[in-house]
Amino acid sequence: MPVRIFTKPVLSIVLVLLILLNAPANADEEALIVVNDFHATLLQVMQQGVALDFTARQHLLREAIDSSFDMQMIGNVVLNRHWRELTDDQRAQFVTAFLDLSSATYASRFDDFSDQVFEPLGITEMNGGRLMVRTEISGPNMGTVSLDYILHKPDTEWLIISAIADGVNDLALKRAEYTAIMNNAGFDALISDLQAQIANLVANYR
Amino acid sequence: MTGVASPATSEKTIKAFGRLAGAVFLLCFLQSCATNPTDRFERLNRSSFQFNESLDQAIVLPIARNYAAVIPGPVATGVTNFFDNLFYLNTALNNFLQGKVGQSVSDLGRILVNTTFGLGGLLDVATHLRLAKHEEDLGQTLAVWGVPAGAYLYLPLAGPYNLRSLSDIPMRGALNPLFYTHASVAIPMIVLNFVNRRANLIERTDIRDSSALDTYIFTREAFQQQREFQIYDGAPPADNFDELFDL
Repeated sequence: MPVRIFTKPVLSIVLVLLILLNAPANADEEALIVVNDFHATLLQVMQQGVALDFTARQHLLREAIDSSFDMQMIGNVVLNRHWRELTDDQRAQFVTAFLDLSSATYASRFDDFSDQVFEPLGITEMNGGRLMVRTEISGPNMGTVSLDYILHKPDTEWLIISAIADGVNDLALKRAEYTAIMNNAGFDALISDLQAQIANLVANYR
Repeated sequence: MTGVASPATSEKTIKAFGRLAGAVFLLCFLQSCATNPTDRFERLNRSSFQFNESLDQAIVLPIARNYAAVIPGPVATGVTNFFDNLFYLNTALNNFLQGKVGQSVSDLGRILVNTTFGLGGLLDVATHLRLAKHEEDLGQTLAVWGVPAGAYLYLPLAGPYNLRSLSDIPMRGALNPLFYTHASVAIPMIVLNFVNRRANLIERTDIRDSSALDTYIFTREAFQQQREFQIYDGAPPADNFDELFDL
């Protein structure tokens, strides 16, 4: 009988402890999980290598990018003042093209596995409540490449808004490129260039 | 009328040429400024970029691709190690000039270890002995001393620079042992180093070509950001990217 009396409260405590242990301890940990999950997909795609064709690899990566990255924020940053001038349809059109290009670029690069390892190095607090998760990828045939991510938390979850490889920020690169095209040729030309680049990536994939 | 101009005529001609050159420069400068304040010489730079890209596509890249296909990986790594070691005095000296005396001593240790135990630099033994490899040059030293970057320049054959990093060309040359060797040795070595370096960059330029809509802008932005990354030894301040998010 005494055993029965204690069973319920003890179980409850164990359950609460388990929930607490599984719950992310803080913002740093939540942000790190987002990056780790994205890296897990990259590794999965690399390990399957040519067993996955380009389209299957791109599909997997597109889902991972869509769930880990804040595409609206990225569009806003990359197109800068032009973003405000776009209609909702144009914004959606840009986000789709950008997602397609990003996933096709990753699919063309991450297609084989030779013992590469992603390693988290630390987390730095940034202005505006943003976090930088610092990681590196290394492998026997590639040396070490620093790979950092900037994340923000617009609502309830942390999302990646920029990736930085060896100090080169993809958003800054794309902002310079895309705003130049917007200034010189306009939105339709930008979308057309993005679609041509995607077609080029698929066609040239060996 | 004679073929030789009088001193007065010469002076007038020189002055006229001077004024013309000044006007042309001013015009180019103003046009460039109007185009893009962060790339004042964009038109000139784009011309050099096109020249280099054409040369690369027609001659250099095919040679580099064949080199990469034929030369086994470990041999190519040995070649890279050899030239890195040969030119490493530049890094050691610039670390010293930046006040990083410990790193400078470690760099000299790297040269000693790799030249002796590393078979003239072919093997990077020093890294295995935890003597870290650094990447420094006079452009970075001047940045540490507070000299501003100056205008972005894309040079024919040489590639991306800024006014500050131009200073590295004479220093790198003066500290390059090949500069002091006979042409019959230096020229083949320079060619081998050039092809090997281009082969090492194939993956990066392939990534650029597959993801960039404007390869000139991509190259410029990547160069400027990577220089910043190097100046801060791989740890730039976290607020470096704040401007991006000021929407």
